[in-house]
Amino acid sequence: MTEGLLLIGLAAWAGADMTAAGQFMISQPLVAAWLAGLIVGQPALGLGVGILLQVVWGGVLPLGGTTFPFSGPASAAAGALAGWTANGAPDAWPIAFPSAWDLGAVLGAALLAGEAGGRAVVFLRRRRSLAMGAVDAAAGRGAAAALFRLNARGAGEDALLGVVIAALGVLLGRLLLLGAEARPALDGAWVALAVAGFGVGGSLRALGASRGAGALLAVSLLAAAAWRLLA
Amino acid sequence: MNRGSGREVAVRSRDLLRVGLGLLFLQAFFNVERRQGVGWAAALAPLVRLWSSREDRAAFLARHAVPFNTNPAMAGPIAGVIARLEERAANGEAGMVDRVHRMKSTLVGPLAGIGDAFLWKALRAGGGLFAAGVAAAAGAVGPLLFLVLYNAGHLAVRIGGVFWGYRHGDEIPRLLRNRAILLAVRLADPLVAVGLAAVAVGVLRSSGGPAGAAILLPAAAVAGYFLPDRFRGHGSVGSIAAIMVGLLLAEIVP
Repeated sequence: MTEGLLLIGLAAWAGADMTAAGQFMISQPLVAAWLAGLIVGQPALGLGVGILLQVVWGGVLPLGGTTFPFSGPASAAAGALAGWTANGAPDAWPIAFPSAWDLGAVLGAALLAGEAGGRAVVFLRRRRSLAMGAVDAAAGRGAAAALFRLNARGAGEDALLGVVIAALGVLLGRLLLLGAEARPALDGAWVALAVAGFGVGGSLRALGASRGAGALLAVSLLAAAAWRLLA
Repeated sequence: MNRGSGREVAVRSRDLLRVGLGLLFLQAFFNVERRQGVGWAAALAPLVRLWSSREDRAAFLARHAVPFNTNPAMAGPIAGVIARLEERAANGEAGMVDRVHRMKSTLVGPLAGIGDAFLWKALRAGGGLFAAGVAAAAGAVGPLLFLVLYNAGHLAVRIGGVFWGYRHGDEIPRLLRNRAILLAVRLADPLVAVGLAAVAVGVLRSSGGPAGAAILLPAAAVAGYFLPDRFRGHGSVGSIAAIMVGLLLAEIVP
């Protein structure tokens, strides 16, 4: 009961934090998934999926009001789902990944829920434009309170959307995890490395980093891979 | 313009603080038509007390509830400058209301550029990725470090920037050419690269699996970089493909 309420609170906070209220970056995948993992008693598993989602979505910036995945609540769902896959096993340190099929199910659910949330945000922002007549009327009366009420409504809508998207992520994840139960428990490293690698390349491109920065990254990657192979 | 009232009005520190706190909700009613306009007008509402007549107060709100869009944190310095100009307008200085409009248009673009590069790209993206790398090695220290560092910069600009903008007023366009600011903008690229390298090394170190799996990360990074944008979908679509490749390899490689 307490766990559920805390998760709902986290999803709402992450939803509002995306753009509407504060933007303290509680909604960053690393933070939201870690907090969700903490709530379900498995912070290391929450951090593991949080790191991967941070690499995938960290390079997507809401520049100029562009569309973006609703990543905070989706990451909270992923952190909770990853924690639940442990089935009460002791927490690892400093991070852990679920087995391959479980990790694929958790990440897949979060990615789909995040994209669905991004589309819902676009819908909300279009719908809010219909209220501009009320905004002009309030300003014309000098009624600042009406503007505060609209702001509160917007923040509330985003928080509610956060809860809905996190719930969608958990539902999708549960369904995918049911399918994963039938598969053998394989090493999650393959999935983690594939997703992290793809995210690193994608983020480098999305963030438009310079050639020098790309070269620095390429050298670091190859050195780290060589070190791991030799070790 | 408060004519005939015979009193000088001044913006108080508590007004600036309330504006700064209001700016935390700048995008609460973000919409396609006015962007941040509603949040901007609501954030500036504490300054409405500068005007004594009902008509002036209505005109104040009406001139700010218009389309507005900048980097949300950088709205702080802009609000400070506008507070200074509104104060002068309320005290009857001629031409100040027009100047409010002009100054807003002058500042939103350049400040958005600086905020997007420094706060979004360097601190948010680069810092978040670096923190993910730290988390892979040291657990909860990563997200905590990120929250502290990001918000130190973010709140200094979004709330502290209101006071800074008010203090410097008209000088802001000149101050934007300051060397330290330009350097901070140029640091964004290297910080992103360091963040990406940190998280890649962190995942490689902590992921376990057979030694040969290590080569998968650089290979996937090349694929991620060169994948055409139409197949990218904010990284989500490509990542689902990466999950499938990872699962296939987990199944077939002993």
